[in-house]
Amino acid sequence: MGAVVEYAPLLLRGLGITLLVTVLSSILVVVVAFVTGLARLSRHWFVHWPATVIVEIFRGTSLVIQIFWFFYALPLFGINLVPLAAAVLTLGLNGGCYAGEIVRGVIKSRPKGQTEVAIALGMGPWLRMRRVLIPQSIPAMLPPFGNVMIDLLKNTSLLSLVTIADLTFRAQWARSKTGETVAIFLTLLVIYFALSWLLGLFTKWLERRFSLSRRSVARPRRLQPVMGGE
Amino acid sequence: MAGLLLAWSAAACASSGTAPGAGSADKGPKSIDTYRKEGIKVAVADAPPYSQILADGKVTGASPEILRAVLKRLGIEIKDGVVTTYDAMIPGLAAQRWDVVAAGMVIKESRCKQVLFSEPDIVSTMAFGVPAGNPRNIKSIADGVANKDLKIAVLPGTFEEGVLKKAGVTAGQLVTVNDPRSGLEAVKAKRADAYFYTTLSLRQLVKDDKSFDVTEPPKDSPVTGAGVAFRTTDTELLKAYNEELNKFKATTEYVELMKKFGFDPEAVKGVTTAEMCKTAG
Repeated sequence: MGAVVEYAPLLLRGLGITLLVTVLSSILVVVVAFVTGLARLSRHWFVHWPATVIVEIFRGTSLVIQIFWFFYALPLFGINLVPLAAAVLTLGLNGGCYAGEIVRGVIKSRPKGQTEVAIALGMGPWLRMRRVLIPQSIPAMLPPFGNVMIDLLKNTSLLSLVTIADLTFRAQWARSKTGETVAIFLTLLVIYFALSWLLGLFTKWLERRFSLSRRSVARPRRLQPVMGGE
Repeated sequence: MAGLLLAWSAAACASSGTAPGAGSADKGPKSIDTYRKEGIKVAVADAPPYSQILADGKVTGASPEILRAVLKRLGIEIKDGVVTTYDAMIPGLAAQRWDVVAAGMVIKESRCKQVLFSEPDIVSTMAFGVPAGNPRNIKSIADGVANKDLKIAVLPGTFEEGVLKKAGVTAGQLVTVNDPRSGLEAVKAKRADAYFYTTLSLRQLVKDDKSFDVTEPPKDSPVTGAGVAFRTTDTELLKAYNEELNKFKATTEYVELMKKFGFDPEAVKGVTTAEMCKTAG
């Protein structure tokens, strides 16, 4: 374990990069997920087609290849992203396209009656989505979103292949310097497990926060008198 | 957090700002003056004694130290060092991820088509890393060709890989490993019988490990001449670099530098890039 102690400051710096990339990409994942998910629900072909194409491309090709593409191939077309930007973009788009299908699937599976009632109340499509369908979809979206986030966290280790000095990169480097493969890989396993576990706890907390159970229903508010009252 | 985001987007803008002809890959070569002003970004491998990055971020090893000394004569400083693998070095050079590769990269035909090599700065040998006592008695590349049961660990995209393949070692016999240390571990884990790599790097890797031996350089393995690699558009820099390199190689500073890292300073004499570029592989 000597190597782990000796290289702890560097491993911690790598951990910082891993966390930074995870947080930034997960924000992008949520944005991409809702954009592609909602776009694919659209009745207009010019909205759902592009979204479908993007989702299929990012889901259908390997993440490693995408990372290499953003890092080594895009510059040849004049798009020179700094490594961190390329990393966040790839992970965010890739994860977001998986998560977009969660958004689409969950919203689509809401009972038809909800939409019909909203229409009967005179709500437009956007208001229906925002006030009726999305709020009741969120509890069902959270567990699969938790999966995507944990996957995202672990996928950041692939960035070590493109010179981003994340936790895995630092660990590989410490390993190559010291040869203490067992201790260093064990440390890596433990750290990634702990982080995934924390993400799991966070998802659980969100689930409770957004749950539809009776206990979490908002307290009834006093109704406003309609005609000046008594 | 917001500060980081800001710095990040600023950096992203700055990097796209360097591309005036948007959409075109060919931004034209940077002039020597640009490099003098901005410094140069170097890619190295984690492969001591050729090149490595120390814990404090300092780039060192024979290849980067020669680069540093010669660039200093040109008034250029090494700004940043990146550790990467051999198979990513040339793509990254083309993609402008770095400006020069100083990793003891061996000059050979296929690479000469993709990058500009300086004149050779390190000439060295390759050898096999084997379990102590060399139980499979591997002494030459021909042994690997004759015995198809032998598994040989090798780094992908390296000169060593090309040498083995060209000699007739089949793809099924090669165990490709990601980094120099993994080659030894492949042998340790009995996934390979031997590890074909540069002699001095092998010696450095196994120095504290009694369970490994490093063979003598096989007689049937070619001489390897390494140089630093520039982008194909950097002809101006290459010319200036070669002039200073040739002067530097005649100094005692060069001899001492080579000895410090364990290389033979005499081996480089008479070896030219033009000649090494004919090396197949």
